[in-house]
Amino acid sequence: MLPLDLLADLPEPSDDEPSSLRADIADELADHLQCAFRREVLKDGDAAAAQRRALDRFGDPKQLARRLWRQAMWSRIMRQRIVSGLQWMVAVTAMLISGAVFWQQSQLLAELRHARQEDAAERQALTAKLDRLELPTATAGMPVYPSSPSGPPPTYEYSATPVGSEPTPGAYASTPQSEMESPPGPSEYGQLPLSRPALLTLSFVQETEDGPPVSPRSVSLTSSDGGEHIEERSSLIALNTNVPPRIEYPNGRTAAGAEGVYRIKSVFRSLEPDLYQLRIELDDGQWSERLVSIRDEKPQELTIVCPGPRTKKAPVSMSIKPLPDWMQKKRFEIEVEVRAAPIEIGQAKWATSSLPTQSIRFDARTGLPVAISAMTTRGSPELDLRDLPAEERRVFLPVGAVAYRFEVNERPVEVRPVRVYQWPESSLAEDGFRHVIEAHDNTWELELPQEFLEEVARDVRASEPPPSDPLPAAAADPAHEGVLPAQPVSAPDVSKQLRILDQLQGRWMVIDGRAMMQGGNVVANKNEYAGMSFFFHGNTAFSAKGLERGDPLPFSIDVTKNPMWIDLDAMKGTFRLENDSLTICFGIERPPGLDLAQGIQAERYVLKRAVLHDEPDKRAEPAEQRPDPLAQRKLEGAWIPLASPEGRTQVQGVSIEAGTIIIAGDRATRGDGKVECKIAVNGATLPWRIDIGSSALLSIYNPDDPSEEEPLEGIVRLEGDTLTMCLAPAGQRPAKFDEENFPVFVFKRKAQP
Amino acid sequence: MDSRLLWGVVEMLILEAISHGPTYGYEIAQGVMSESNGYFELKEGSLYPALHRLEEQKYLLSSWQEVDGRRRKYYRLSASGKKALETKKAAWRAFAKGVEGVLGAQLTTS
Repeated sequence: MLPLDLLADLPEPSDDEPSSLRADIADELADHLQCAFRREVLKDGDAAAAQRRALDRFGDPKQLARRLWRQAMWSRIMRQRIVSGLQWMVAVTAMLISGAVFWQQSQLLAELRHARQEDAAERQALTAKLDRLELPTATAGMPVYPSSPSGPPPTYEYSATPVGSEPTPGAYASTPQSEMESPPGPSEYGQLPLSRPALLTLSFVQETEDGPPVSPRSVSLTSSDGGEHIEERSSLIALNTNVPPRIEYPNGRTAAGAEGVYRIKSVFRSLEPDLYQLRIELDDGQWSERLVSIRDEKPQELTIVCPGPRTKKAPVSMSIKPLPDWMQKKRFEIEVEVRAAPIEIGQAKWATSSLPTQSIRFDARTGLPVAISAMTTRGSPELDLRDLPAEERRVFLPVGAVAYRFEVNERPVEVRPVRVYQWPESSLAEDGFRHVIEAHDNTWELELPQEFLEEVARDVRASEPPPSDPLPAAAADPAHEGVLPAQPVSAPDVSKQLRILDQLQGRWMVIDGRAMMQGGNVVANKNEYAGMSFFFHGNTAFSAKGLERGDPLPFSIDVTKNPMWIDLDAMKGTFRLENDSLTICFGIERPPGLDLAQGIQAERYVLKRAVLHDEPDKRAEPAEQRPDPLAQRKLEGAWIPLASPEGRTQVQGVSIEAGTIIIAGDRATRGDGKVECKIAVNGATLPWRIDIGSSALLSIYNPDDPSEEEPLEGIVRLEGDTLTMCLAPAGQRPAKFDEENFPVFVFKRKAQP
Repeated sequence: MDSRLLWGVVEMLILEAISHGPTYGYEIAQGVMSESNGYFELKEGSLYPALHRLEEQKYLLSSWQEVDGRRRKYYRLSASGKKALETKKAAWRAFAKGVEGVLGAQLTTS
């Protein structure tokens, strides 16, 4: 049945046609027709009628086969058409562009040809004019032109200039013909176009116009179109002796062995009238650039005064003045970049490229340099100074004017990009080296400008991450290398390490302390641990009790261990940190866990984070109040109370004497002489911070029971003769003058008798 | 019936017919006619282009089997075909409900 050629109406096969497409279509339709035929045959058994009915119902199978083929090929046909169309468009576009370029080039060639013709005509006319002129007589210092058109090519000479009659820059030389250097032959000088006799002769002297001659390493002249002019020759000319002049070429300049006074001259000739940039580089790397104007027929002779050699260096002891506490934290690094400052001679500036910029990094806490690096051809190796005593941490700087600038780097790594603050801000025009200081064998104490500090502080506050945000400040800080474990750790471990390290920072109050003694007894001496705190500051930690504080000891942690490890100086320990709770167990040998174990002498502390109120950066509580003699001195004197927290003024409950406090150095005494304690003022913060050893100093604070004395921490403001203090118990230093929550005292300075 | 409406319905009916299991063109046409009590008689000229289009749209997957010495192309629904069928059915039901609602209301008011 159905011996039909279903594919008879299909187009010829194309290359991109799937190989089975035609067979698939034919088989599918044939199967359908066969099914229909069988069904129809079952109706009456007449095969011919069944076939007819099946085909009638189906329609034209060839047409359907063609439709299905087109449907399958549609996307390919359309793609082919689009590609053909695009190819055609590209070809047409390329032809159009080629035509346009060809037309433009033809126009340019025509213009060039025309210009050349005009130029040739002009030259011809000028030559004819010159031929009619008389031969000029040789005038001192003036160009001498050969007369014969058939003679040697036109050249001119320049003259040596005697000392004492040195021409002013830009003027003609005026040496008599007899003293002139023998004119070299034309073959030596070459040709010069008659219409462009411009000549530039340069003399180089050191420090003053009467100074000794200098031989620059290189002299170059660049025209406004960027074309560099070659120094044709340089001469070493005797000025006041009979020694015949020696001619030296740029690569072989030397004055050695010559007698008398010489001027070293560089000669540029064949200069088109233009504004040129002249660059001179000396042997020691100093260089200068200036503009020189060359006009038609105006030979110029310039004397260039060069600076003396700058090769001497002097040791300079540098330090940074005390920085505010928030900057003394681990995340900041102070850097001072230093380079030789340009020297000005007249209106010309001489910079130096041979003295590289040196970078000196400072410890923000001590203000001392910790490392020096200088850019060299082999990179910028860093010299670690931390092992040297403070007085030996010197920087060798070029003697003379030195320019410097500050840089403050915030050193979080991994998590955030490093923030860099520069002072002054560098820009393309000015690279920030605008402060100049004289370097000799001396000592500098640099101070970061207050407005710069404020700017950094503002920015840091604005970008302060939320407390849960890891603050991996110590990772890249060489000053805190010990904080991270020595062995390599993975990135997540580093992140955890830094997070834990950051969480440790600040003050922790001891709420329980026990020790495993040699005999196996556990001792819990409450009196000893009561009021005791631990401070973690950067990579140092120390204990404190009242105003007594232990020496800061370096510590390191390893968070990859379980429980985590902490090493405090020679002590080895384990620790657990859960929110505001910290448990530490340590001894000479590392305890196996967090609990005291028999046979292992160790101490175990349970600590709670000291809560600060509204501190701008709670973890930034300074671990120590560095003595600030300057600020402390400003508070010296007798202070009469004006107002107390309870609103009492002057003598309400206490006498003026009892309410008055007298500050002298780091001691403060109550007016009645019954109480004396230490005070510490830190003027590097805003507001200033004050620690007072005993609350009994301020009798009005608790006049009825002075025995309940305790150390106070607070902030202080000095405005003229008015002193305002906002105080709180130790560990709760207020961040601002908050009368709502903290007692605020106002004092007036007692006039001197 | 509107041809545009019918166009979408044909595809939905084909997908529904195939959703019961792998089947081939003739059986699909017979099944639709049978299930619709002879209302929808899918002409071969509509059926096969629709099948091929649905296959091109990845709603259908196909395979060949040998039956009685002939090659037969079987279709089955792909995952996206199943989703498309569900979408079309939901749209149709909403459409029919809307139409029925309007017609029912008119009947009630008239």
